[in-house]
Amino acid sequence: MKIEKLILSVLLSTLFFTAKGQSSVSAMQSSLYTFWTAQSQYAGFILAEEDGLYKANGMDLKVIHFDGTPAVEMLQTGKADFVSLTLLDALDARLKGVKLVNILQFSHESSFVVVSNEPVRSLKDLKGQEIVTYRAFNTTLKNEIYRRLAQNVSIKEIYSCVEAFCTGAYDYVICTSYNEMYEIEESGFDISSKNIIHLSKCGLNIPEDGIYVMEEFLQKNPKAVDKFIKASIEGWSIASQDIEHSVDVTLTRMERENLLHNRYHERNMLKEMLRLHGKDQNFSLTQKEFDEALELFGEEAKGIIDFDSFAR
Amino acid sequence: MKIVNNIKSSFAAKLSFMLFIGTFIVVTCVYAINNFRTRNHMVKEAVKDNAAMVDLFISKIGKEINLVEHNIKSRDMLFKEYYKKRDVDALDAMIKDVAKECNVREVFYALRPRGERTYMADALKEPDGKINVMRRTRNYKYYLHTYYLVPEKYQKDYWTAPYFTTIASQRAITFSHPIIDTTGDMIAVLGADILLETLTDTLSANVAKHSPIKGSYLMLVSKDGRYLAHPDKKKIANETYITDARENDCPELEIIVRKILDGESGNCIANLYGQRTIVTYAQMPELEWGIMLATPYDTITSVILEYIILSFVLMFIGFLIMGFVIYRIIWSMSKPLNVYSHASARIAAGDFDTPVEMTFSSGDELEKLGKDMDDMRVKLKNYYEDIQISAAQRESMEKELSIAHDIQMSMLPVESEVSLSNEYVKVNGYLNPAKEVGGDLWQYMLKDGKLMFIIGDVSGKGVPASLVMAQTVCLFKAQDADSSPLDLVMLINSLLSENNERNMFETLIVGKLDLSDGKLSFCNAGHDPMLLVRDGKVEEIPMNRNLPVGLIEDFQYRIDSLTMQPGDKILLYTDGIPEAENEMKELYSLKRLENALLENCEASTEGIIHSIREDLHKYVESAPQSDDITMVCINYRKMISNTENLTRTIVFKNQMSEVSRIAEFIEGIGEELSIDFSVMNGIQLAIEEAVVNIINYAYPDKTDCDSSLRVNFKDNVLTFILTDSGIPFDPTGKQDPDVSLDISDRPIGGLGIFLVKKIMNEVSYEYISEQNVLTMKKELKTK
Repeated sequence: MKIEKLILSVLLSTLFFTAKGQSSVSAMQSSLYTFWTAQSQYAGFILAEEDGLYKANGMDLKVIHFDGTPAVEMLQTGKADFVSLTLLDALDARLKGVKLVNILQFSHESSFVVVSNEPVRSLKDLKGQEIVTYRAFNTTLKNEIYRRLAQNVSIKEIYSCVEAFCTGAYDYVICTSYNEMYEIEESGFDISSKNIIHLSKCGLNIPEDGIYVMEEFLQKNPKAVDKFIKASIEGWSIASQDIEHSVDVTLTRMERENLLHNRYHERNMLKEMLRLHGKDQNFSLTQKEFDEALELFGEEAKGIIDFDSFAR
Repeated sequence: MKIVNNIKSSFAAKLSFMLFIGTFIVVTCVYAINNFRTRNHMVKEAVKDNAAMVDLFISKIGKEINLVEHNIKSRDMLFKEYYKKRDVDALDAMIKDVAKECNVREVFYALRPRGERTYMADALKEPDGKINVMRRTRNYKYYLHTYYLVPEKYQKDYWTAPYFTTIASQRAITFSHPIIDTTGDMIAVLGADILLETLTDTLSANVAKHSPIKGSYLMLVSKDGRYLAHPDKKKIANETYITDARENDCPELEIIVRKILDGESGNCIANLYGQRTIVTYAQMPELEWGIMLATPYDTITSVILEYIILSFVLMFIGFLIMGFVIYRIIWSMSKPLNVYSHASARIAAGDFDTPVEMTFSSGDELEKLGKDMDDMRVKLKNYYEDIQISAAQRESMEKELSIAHDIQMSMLPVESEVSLSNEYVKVNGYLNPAKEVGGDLWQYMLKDGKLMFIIGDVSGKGVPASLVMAQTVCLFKAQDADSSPLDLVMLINSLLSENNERNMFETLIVGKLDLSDGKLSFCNAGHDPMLLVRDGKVEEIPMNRNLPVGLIEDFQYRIDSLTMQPGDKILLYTDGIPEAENEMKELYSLKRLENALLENCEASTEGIIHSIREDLHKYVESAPQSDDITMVCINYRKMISNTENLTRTIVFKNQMSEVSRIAEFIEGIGEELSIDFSVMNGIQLAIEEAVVNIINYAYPDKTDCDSSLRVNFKDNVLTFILTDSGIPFDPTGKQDPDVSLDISDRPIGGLGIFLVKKIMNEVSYEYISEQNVLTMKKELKTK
């Protein structure tokens, strides 16, 4: 009797472990960490998750949004397999020794704009002015602006830069064209071509959002990366074709995460993101874009990073 | 349908219905105007109420805001004192006190950073009311927040835009006051956070509770355009007025809020969210928030509509009841009309004996109408009886007149005597009185080879004229063969003139024809002259007209004479013929009479009388006869000897109506030649057969074609020559039928010409100059 019980338990245990092994093979669990909270900036990725495109491509991927932890840290610690970063932030991290690799680039144009209370025409008009911007504004970019204006400008990173600008506390603000610029407009401020400067038109057209993985992860999971890229591109493709559906999905996500949200703002943000992505639907970082961005880090940086090892 | 019929047939229902409809329309119009005015009034009141409520809200929020500001700002000196002493505990105690005194979430102070040294302390009010003071860590970079930055930069008080608190995610605003030292540098910021819910939720609840019009709602917009209060809770904090207005296609909302944020206040009617809305708006001075109190127009209208519907239903029910009561009253008051209606129906049916029922005594027009109707009944009854008597009398009179008519007619030549025909003369007459008895007369008599005749027309009509006429006829009949027409006229004149108080007179022609020599003597007393037919011509016989008899007693009448030729015809007539009128009041005229006579001059006397009557009837059609009509035709003739030659011709159309005319023509010849009646019958039959044959077959597809019949009498032989231009046809060529065969075995046709051959002594046919010429001869026996 005891022998029979022993055989039965061995069989059951064998069955259990076999089943567990099969499930782990079927779909790889992974995550994408965005460097800011849920919004239409990440519409293609949110849509790919919510509409099951990752699952359809054999991935069990979760999109996790900014919770205060820097994206590079999430990648280094392995808390996220994929992170979204601006190109400058990614290069900065790479220069600091973090072996991350660009696997997908969905922004090919700089979104940064200077919005002014007074009419402005070029960066030179900002000389001697105090400019506010949001916290964690890219240092390399800030330094380049300082360099161009011969240090004759003050860029202050503060919280609630939109409020500070709208209440009239500050006359200049550097912000993104897909988010803060719309917030300023939505608070009742009339933005026209006379009081806005696009950095992309001032020789500072550095591509921004891209998706990065650790080099090691890429080497180990090339198929997973391929699947991620394929599903993400599908997500952005659907977002561009069906904007209202994409906004619906994003708003649902934002509501779930207790974030302020409204359709008008998210629709505008998505349209602007699609504009920044470009008409040719290119999801890869180009050598030219890489070179121009690396230029801001000085000559030394060129010897440290090469395009082939940085971008897949 | 039944109700409609009832309303139509009942006076009370009809009047009630009209009163109901009329009153209903008038009241409804007044009601509608009143409601329109009420609605306008309500709109004005709503604007007033909303304005008052907006002021109240501003005042309430202002009070809260001022209380916080006052409590913070009043600690300015104390703060500096404690700061100078570096007495952190005192500072902590101070902010704790402020938190106690105000309705705030937390009170804080943040010192100006010295290098990397920062210091900030919060007195946080827990939900249970306990206040804990805590210090922020160095990681918390308060100096990068607007509540610190703005007062620092401008050294003035600042209210932040609403934000979400890090703890419990509540919406709050922060008031921050810069503490400035004696050198003018800001040493710290002292401030407090207020939870928005404490301000806005109370206000929204107040609107729902106190607004006189249900459906009014409050909208609060922060100075950065974000909703702080909105009827759609989802929009609060999430939406700005810009996103809301543009997403919901509500441009007027954007315009109004822009005005508010620019410091304007007022009210307007705008289209908000697809609804016409009354909006009262203003800006809160301390926070620069916009406040809008909106009342959808429809809510006011719906309030009025509810009132209208309820009132309308009640009014309609009231009208129905009133209509029923009015109907009963009118029905009761108009009850006599029903009685009168039945009574008039009875009277109309001939019941004059049943009095009109008067069972009520209203003393008004209706009662008088009843009495008048009964009087009318009595009068109608009497009148009806009178009419019955009159009718009986009239019937009796008509009977008497009929007898008088018969008597009068008996004085004229009777049926068998209407025509006289012998070898010397033929007379035919016709009299048609306009009334039962008339004043026209004619008579003749043959005495000792002399034909005496009279025609007359007594003035006036009816019985008086008929009596004169009777007297005249009696006097005529009393004459003998030797009497002169003049004597008779003189006699009648003297008799009629004597005691002629009624001034009656009479026109006459009295004549006497000696049949042996044709001498005619006659006396005309004012009558229309006779017409003579001689040799195919018609002419008026010249004569003395004289005066009608009865006018002048001793008037000397003159006699006239004429010798008639054999074949001559004279026509006597009364003025009823030329003066007969058609419907157009046009006279028949002497001319037309002469023409009618001329057209028929070859006919017999009977044919002439008949033709003129026909022509007269044709002329007057249905116009009533206004005068007596009398005519007499006399044909003087002399037996033609066998050696004498007679030729007559008649032209006829190929129409069946011509057959009778031809028959009259033949008959005239027979009379003229005094041919035996039985012989003439045979001749008539043969000629008619031959004529009908031409009419029917000679001219196929044509009408109005002329043919002729020529009659010649010589040596006791009558020769009839029928000539037509129709298709060639020889009737004599047809083989005689075998009359010995049974009628069913005989072939159709051929009997007509066979009959002609049997009657006539000789029948021959020739086709000469494209004309059929059929010659028929009949030998007459010598008398």
